[in-house]
Amino acid sequence: MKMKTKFFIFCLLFTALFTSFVYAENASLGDILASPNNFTGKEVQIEGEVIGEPLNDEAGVWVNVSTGQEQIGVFFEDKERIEEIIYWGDYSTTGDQIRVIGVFYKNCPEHQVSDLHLKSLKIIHKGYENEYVISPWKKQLAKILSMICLAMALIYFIKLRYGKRN
Amino acid sequence: MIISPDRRDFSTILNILGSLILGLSLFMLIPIIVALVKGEQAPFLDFLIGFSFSAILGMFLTLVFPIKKEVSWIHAFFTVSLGWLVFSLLGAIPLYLSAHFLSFVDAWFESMSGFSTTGLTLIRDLDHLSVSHNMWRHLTMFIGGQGIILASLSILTRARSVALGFYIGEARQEKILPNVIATARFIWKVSFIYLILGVITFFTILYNQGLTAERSFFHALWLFFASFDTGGFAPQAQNIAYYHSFYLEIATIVFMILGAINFNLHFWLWNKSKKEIFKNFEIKTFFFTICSLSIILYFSLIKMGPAMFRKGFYQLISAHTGCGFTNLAGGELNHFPALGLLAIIFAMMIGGCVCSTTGGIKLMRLGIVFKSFFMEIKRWMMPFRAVYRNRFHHLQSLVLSDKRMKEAYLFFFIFLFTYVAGAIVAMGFGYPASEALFESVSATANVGLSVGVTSSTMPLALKLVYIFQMWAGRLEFISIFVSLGFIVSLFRK
Repeated sequence: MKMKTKFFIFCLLFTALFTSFVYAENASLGDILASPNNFTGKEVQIEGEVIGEPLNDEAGVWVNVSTGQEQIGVFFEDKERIEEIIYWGDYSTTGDQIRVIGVFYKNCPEHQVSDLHLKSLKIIHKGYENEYVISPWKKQLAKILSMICLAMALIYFIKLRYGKRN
Repeated sequence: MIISPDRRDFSTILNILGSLILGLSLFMLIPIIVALVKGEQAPFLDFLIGFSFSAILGMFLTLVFPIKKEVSWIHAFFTVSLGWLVFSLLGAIPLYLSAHFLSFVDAWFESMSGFSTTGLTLIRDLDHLSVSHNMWRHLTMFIGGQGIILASLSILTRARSVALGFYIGEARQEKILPNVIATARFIWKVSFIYLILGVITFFTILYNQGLTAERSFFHALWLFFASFDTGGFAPQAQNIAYYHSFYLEIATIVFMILGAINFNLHFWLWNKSKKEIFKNFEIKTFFFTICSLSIILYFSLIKMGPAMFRKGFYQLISAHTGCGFTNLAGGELNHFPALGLLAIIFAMMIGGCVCSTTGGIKLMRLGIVFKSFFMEIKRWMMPFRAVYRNRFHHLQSLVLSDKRMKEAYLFFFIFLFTYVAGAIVAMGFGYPASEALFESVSATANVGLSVGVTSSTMPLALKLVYIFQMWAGRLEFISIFVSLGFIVSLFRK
């Protein structure tokens, strides 16, 4: 019985010790970038939209993730993992929302920038094609101004010609 | 005797302004074409509205206000300062309609920042901005960097008699060729040659990184506009950090430095002597300041390790050339040690060469201030009756005359005063002194680096102060002072 209790306590301690290493700090990207010294070298978890396109690097590929306010480059050593991402955010597309767990570096020894080295990736929400609705007043305003502009251009060129003759 | 203006003066000014606005509206056709090609319907309408409104205003001013007086220098100075304000307001229309700005003032701020090649930005959600709007943001830097009036001068022929007035009004002290129109055209020729070189270089790097050919082309073009014209806008919110490319950073450094070099020196190196680069006073001053500030930065960032070179040196070059590109993560500049931040503030204050696209005090003036200081010490050490003349080499051997020194000191103190005044205003709004000074210098010297003060949530009055600083800094105050004098003399009649 004593042995069993000791073993149980040992397992409990070991688990606690182990999880303290693998536990990813669940802070926002804003918090991480605001106090990078507190997070550098640690595993962090961030969520955000995938932006732009994958950018090739000699030893992997970069994926930029944006929370709307802050952005960071996530380094994927395994290039094939980017195939999980379908939508990349730009004017016509809202990118996939992803959850990334990775090691944050304030001054990455490998890349000499602030970055995140990917450990795990999860697509939370799929992205989509953006649909922009044009407001009717904008259409009307464009139409009216274009017509005035054409009329003015006509007067302008007539006056230029008339002025030259005189 | 001060010339007192009358209605005929204003009619003449408004007529020239109308012609220039028509020129600006033609530039808006470029994003219209891009929007059409890319099938961006809403941005197409934004630019159609902006173009139509500008063209209507331009034609109205030209038709209603005829030239009633011979165009003089005072007209040129007034047109330049008023022109830059009007252009930035008109340029803000399509930006505001994009719905990426909280208010029209924010869009105006962005537009002024573009035209003055500053690079401070208030845009929201830049990563989802349309290609045509991004084209316009970057085009404003190219137009502004080359000089709006200069751009029109090389096309217009009517105002040739006072072309020099327009040229000087846009803060360019040196003529390259005897004729100002020929000078303007030379500047455009040089810029187009570098444009081709720049686009090819950036395109190659970006395409190899995995951008599509189309995106590589647009990004290459925009990065060239932003680096050569020392603007500092970038198409992505992370600025240069988006690309994660060391080669791209090196390429931007090259084009930032090329943009910060005197166009006169470009002309000299192309057409006359290559050795001038080793003798030139401005280049020597640049070498001295960059080395001194690099040493300060080195000791300040030594704890950073190897990252210090990539991060620190890039910010220093970006600040010194007045570009404002950054490869740092958001807010990272705030974590620089105070000494490092001070080195960057000094670099921003100084700026690049005269007759370039940079802002700030300029290397020539700083060099003259220092040289005159040492000259004075030498003079005190010499016999009472000794005649002492100091010389410096800028394209030719020049005497450091009292006139040159007076001019250098004048600009030196006007800039210092504006830097401090802007900082005091920001401190009045509760910002810490170092951040307030950093942002004020960045706006006045048309740099664009930020420690976070510039944001859409900052007070409206501070936005207006920075707009004024960007405008005054780009025009180097003189044409604005002359215009103010012009207005004051109206009420003294």
